[in-house]
Amino acid sequence: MRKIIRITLLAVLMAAVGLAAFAAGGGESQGAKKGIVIGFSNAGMGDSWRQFLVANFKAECARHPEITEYFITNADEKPEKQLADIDDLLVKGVDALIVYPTVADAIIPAIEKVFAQGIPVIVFGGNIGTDKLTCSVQQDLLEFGRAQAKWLAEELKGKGKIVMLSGIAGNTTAEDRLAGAREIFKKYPGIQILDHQYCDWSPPKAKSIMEAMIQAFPKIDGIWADSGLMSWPALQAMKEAKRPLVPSTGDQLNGYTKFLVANNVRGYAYPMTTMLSGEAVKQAVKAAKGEKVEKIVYIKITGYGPDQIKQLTKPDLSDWYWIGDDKMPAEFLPQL
Amino acid sequence: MAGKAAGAVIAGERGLYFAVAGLLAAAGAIYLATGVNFFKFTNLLNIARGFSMLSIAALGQTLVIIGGGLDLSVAEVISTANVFAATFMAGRNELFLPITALTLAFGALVGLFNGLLITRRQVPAFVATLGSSIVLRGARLMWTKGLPRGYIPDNLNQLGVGTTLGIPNLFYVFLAASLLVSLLLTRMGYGRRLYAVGTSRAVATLSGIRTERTIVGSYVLCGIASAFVGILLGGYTDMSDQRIGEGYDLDTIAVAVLGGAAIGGGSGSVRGTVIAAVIILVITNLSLLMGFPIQSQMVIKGLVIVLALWLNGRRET
Repeated sequence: MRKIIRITLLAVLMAAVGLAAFAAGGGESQGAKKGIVIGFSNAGMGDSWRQFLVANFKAECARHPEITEYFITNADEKPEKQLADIDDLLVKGVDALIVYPTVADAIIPAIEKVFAQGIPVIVFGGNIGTDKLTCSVQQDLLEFGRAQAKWLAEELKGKGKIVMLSGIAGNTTAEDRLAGAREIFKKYPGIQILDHQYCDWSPPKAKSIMEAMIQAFPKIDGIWADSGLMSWPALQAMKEAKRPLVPSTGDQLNGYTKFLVANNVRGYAYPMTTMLSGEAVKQAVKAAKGEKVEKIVYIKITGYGPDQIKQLTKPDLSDWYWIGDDKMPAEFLPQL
Repeated sequence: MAGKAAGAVIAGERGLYFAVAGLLAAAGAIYLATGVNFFKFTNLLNIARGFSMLSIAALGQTLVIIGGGLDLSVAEVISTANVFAATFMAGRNELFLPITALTLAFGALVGLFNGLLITRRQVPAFVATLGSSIVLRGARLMWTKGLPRGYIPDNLNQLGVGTTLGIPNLFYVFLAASLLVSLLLTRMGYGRRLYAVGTSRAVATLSGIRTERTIVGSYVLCGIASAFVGILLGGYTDMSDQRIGEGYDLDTIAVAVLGGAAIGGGSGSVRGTVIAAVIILVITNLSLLMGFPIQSQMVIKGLVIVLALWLNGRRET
């Protein structure tokens, strides 16, 4: 019912505007070609990573003068809200739609529908099971785990006992990172994996699990963790147990890298980049202009070794800042 | 009738002691067989910290369950209190005490709201506390825009990770908290009234007990305990985290029930809850030391709880 009212209102409004334009002398309004309007249906804003994601979206939009307007909706992680959001954005007349899926499968029909209408759809942040879209911007999550594992194995000169801490069992992101890491560790026979546990990306859980690992294993030479949220508390546990701090892996979380820098211990931060949104904007602009766009665009990532970590870490800023993802004018940076 | 209930509780506790003895025997056997030493002092200290925090939260839950209720808002109160405390303490030692007081007051307020909803409006405890937990989460996310914020002061961090005379500071906090709850339940009129209300609200009303006030009190105390654990968790992890309390809602219920608190009210004790927390922590720790995947620990934990309930159920029929 609401939708019908909305559509009717819109039709009346459009008719009125058209009439006004006609009365003002017709032809002119066509001549002043309007720019590109971008719609961004975001899944949610539940953490600082998402704040950076939106900041990068806005910053990238500002770099394109041809974008005259953009709309961002927030689905609060609910697929049904995201479906309604996408409808709203279509009504606003966007020239390209960017989607960060809540639940990929649930919104496939909506994405296919928009694509069928000839509006470019750019999806990022999730592997979506359809090819009826313009472009999927992705970060290779297997490579995420591989790069971390490679750094750790090289750091230990191919020899040592390590523990592995993963996110949530069954979660695609966690499992991909783990699979990538295991693939690399297999190539280093001198690397012995003492234990692997899922810590749900929860700092207290990671800390107590690491405490038990410290008791179980008299010698731990390295920590592979798929996120700084777990390597950081794991290192805390080692410090409190008065064990020597060892090389670790994580992501670009400032709290983790701050700990590394403050304790002068080597680590590797492989970004789970928030710049995906910026890349999505670039692809959306290309598509809206009618240029050719690749079906899948992998964003190029470089990991940060100890030296870059020292340069990029922001000792005075929030633990929840994402280092290296802040290549944008200050006015766009999230206030943490 | 009261005697019979007490008898059941004691019988239940005997089962708990057997369980602890069995676990320690298993730990000994594991040591002999594999060399994995559960009894190492540093390991026991680790357990003591996790145990202290779980116990304090579970004692709050126990009070609510004795009074015939259930509190599903524990986890969200913990997370919210954690973010609240870290934000306003802002890493400054001198703010630790005043903000702690304020945070506990916040926990009490949530408990008061839960209690009034349940007693005045006759909303089932399950629904009322679930509702307030959703409100809390939403309000927290709106307030922080989803950003964890704030810093833990050094003195709180010391409380969370430090030791005094070789014993974790958290353990002293636990001792004090359990002593308080124990006195409340066994030596004070409030405890007697709470058991009476939980056993039969109608009888309690007839005996002149102000049942509503008694029940509201249990939720207020549980709110305070949860908020306190939120602060302690901040000290333990040295960070504020939006989801730090996750899992505490069901864990506290599991511990209280395993410890002999009956859903429906009237029974439960500090000793039972504390021993149950020991059992849960020892199981988790042993399986971690053995390198079992964390999923298997959930199975073991769940089975122990179901088994305990099954044994208790048989005894009472």
